[in-house]
Order: sequence, then C-alpha cells, then structure tokens
Amino acid sequence: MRTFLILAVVAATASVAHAYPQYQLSKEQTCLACHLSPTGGGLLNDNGVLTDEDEAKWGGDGSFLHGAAELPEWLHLGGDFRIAAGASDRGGGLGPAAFPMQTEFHGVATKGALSVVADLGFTIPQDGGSPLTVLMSRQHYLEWQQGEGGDGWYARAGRFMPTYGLRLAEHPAYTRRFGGAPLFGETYGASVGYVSAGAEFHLTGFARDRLRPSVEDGDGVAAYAEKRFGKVAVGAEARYANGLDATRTQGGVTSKLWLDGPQVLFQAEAQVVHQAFDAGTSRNQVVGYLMTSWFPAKSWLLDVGLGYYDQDVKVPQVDRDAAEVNLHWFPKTHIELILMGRLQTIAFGSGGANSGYGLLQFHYRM
Amino acid sequence: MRNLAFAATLAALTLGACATQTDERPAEFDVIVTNILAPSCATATCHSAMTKAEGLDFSTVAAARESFDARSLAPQTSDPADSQLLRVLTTTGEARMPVDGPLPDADIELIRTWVLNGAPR
Repeated sequence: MRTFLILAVVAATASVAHAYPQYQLSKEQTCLACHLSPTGGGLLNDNGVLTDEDEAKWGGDGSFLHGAAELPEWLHLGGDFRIAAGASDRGGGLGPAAFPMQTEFHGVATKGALSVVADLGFTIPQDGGSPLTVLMSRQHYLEWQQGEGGDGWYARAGRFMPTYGLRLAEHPAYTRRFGGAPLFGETYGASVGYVSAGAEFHLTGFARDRLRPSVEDGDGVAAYAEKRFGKVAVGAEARYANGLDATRTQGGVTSKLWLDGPQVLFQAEAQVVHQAFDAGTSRNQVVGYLMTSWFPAKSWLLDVGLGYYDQDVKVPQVDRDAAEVNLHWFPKTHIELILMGRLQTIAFGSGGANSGYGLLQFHYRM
Repeated sequence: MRNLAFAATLAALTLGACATQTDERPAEFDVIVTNILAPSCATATCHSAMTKAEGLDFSTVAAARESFDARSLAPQTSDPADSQLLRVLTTTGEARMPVDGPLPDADIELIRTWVLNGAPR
C-alpha cells in the first residue's frame, strides 16, 4: 500500500516530455525553431540540439547518445528519463517522497513531408489489469508538414494531445490539470494548423481512446491561435468536449511578454469553463496561471508561477491558489537538474488547508 | 458622481452576493462524483479508468458506483465513522487523500452530509 502511494505521489508530481515554452520569444518565435514537431515538445531538431549545447555550462555533444550512434537522416530517436526525490505534504504533515517520473522513448521517421511519430514509455500498471498496462504509447501519429520543418501548414492524425493553451511542461499547473490538458490526456484525433514567425493556429477534432481508458473521456474539438508582435504574443483558445457524464465548454486567452533587458519572460493564461452534467446540474469555473521566467546566467532558468482555480464560482471557498518555484540548471548537454517547490492553499486567506512539495528532479535526455 | 454611485452599487451587490453565498449543491452521489471525486481523485496515476489505483475508479458515475458497491467506502449506515472515504479525506499523514492536497472543507462537508443521509447511490 505504502509503496503504491509513493509511486502515486511520484507520478502525480511528474513532468512529461513537453517543451519549455519559456524559450519562446527570447530567441525564436516558434516551437519549430528547436523541435521537430510544429506544436513543440518531443525530439529536438538540429537547432534545438545546438541550443542545448549552448545552454549547458560544460557543453558536450547534444546529439543522440552523445554522438556515439550515427542515425540515417530520415530517422530521429531519443528518450527522456526523470527521477525525483524530496518531501511532500498532502495536508497532514511532511513526509519523504521519491519516485521515477518518466521513462519514455521517442522516434520520428521522415520521408519528404511525411513523418511517423511514436512514443513508448512506462506508467503505473492498471490495478487488476494486464501486466502490459505498464506499457504506454502516449503519442503515435502520422504527420504532414509543408516545407519540411519550416513555417507553413501541417496536418496530423493519430493519438496525441490536442494543441491548446500555453502547453507548459508543468502538469500540476491548474491551467493544464483543470484547464483541458491534463497529464495523460492524449486522445485520438486529427489536427490541422499553420505556424509562422508572426502567428500560429491549431484546430483539432478528437475522440477519447476507445482502446485504452484515458484521462480525457470526451469527444470534441479544440482550437488555439496565437499572434506575435515582436516580443509580445497574445492568444485565444476554445474547447468543447462531450464526455461520459458531462459536456464541457471552455474558452480563454493567453499572453506572453519577453523583456530583453532583465532577460525575463512573462506568460499568462486565463480560462472560463462551463460544465453541464448529465444529471441536470451545471457549474462554471475560472482557471488562471501566471509564470515569470528569468534567465539570470548561462545554464540557469528560474520559473516563478502563480495559479488560481475556482472549481465552482457559486460555491464559497472551494477555490485553490498555488505558488510554484522551479530552478533549472543545465550542467552538461542532455542533463538537467530541477529544484521544484510548490505550495497550495484552499481559499487563500480563509485558513483553508495547505499542501505542497519540495523535490529535486534529475532529467536525462537521450 | 453618477459613476461613483454606480461603482458603489456594484460593490455593494458584489459584497452582498459574497456574504450570502452558500453551498447549494445537492448531497447526491452523482454530484459528489462529477463535482468532487472525478476532478480531484480520477487523475492519471490514481483513481482514473486508466490506472484504477487500489481497484477504485472514480472517473465516471457508473464506474464510481461499482467501486463504492465493491468496497466499504461509504456503507449505508448513516454513520460517518463507518466511511473509509471520509477517513482518508480527513486523516493526517501519508494516508491522507488526495495525494496532491486536501479537498476544500465544503467538498468534505457535502460528502459528510451524503453519508449522514445514508449514502444513497
């Protein structure tokens, strides 16, 4: 029992292989500048590898397996491995926490404008299910990209996370967890989008995974658009999902601002969510997040985040507030250490219960 | 002056609304599952359909009903002391749920009311 709980805490606080949108606007305008995927995350492209080498304090070869294996030009392979240890307080006292967070392999095979993208990793097996439930492919899809990695249109079909909102790596952020992009919220679907330095647009139709239960149990559509004006970006988002017990309609806005002088990026997201339950009741929610990211020196990145989530605006004192601090250090290529802290309180200022964690995460990118 | 009066009226209405706000959610199984257990407990690595930690699935009303029927999470005795669900939501230490932070008091009180009503489902 205890072992399982530790695993659960572990995974519940884990990060996944998403991009770091903190780098957007500071150097380049789009995710494609560093990633193979037009929506960010996953494997790095050549420029992303060079950026990793530049960011690392003691440099190194940022390519696959540190350059030990030469891959054909059409094939890209990689992996992400994360473990974390520290302490957590779930509201009843501080206790130790240690766990594997992520073991996941990535592959992309490209021929011309077409790519096959697939991830394979491990997760907590389903209680009472087949031992094979420990294996998980969060993403596998076919993608077409105009211009072979340059700006332009793309389309994809398969299993993936619908592109929506800020796409933060930090999945405990309320705008991810309660805002339509929860951990393991990937679905089957088809998506079309356009990405350029000045703007991007993504539209996804999705259906819940009928083969294996997912955290997302709805069928629906998600859209995200972002317009950039130099070092400023504004975005709009909308999402509808018809789930097993409820329909969920939501919309929101995002904004980003990069300041060259202090080397700081501000990112904000605000969402309103309407849930109509099959039982006849409904509720409205408000979700918000503000992240300030500072690049104080080469190989260092400090994030300070503030989150807000009101699960039902008509019910008093059910809102949650969170403050997060993540200090990233990149000592060598492929390696990242993150000191993570998070405090959460219920109905801030009302004496509501508090919880939180402090963890040191080790991340190795294959 | 007119703007000031409008602002004062708006503030009074807002404060009044806050002061009189009460939890009007019915203490019913469907509401407890969809409003509380599914979003807070049916996370990827816990009591979701994907993981079913401890054999419990709170992701939907139907799945939660099966879980409650199979386990003594809330026996229909109308006694909160008999409810394992209430115990894990209010205990201290490593057994407390949810793992990523306690539920709001209003949610726990709604569940307690449902238990006191005989935990109908």
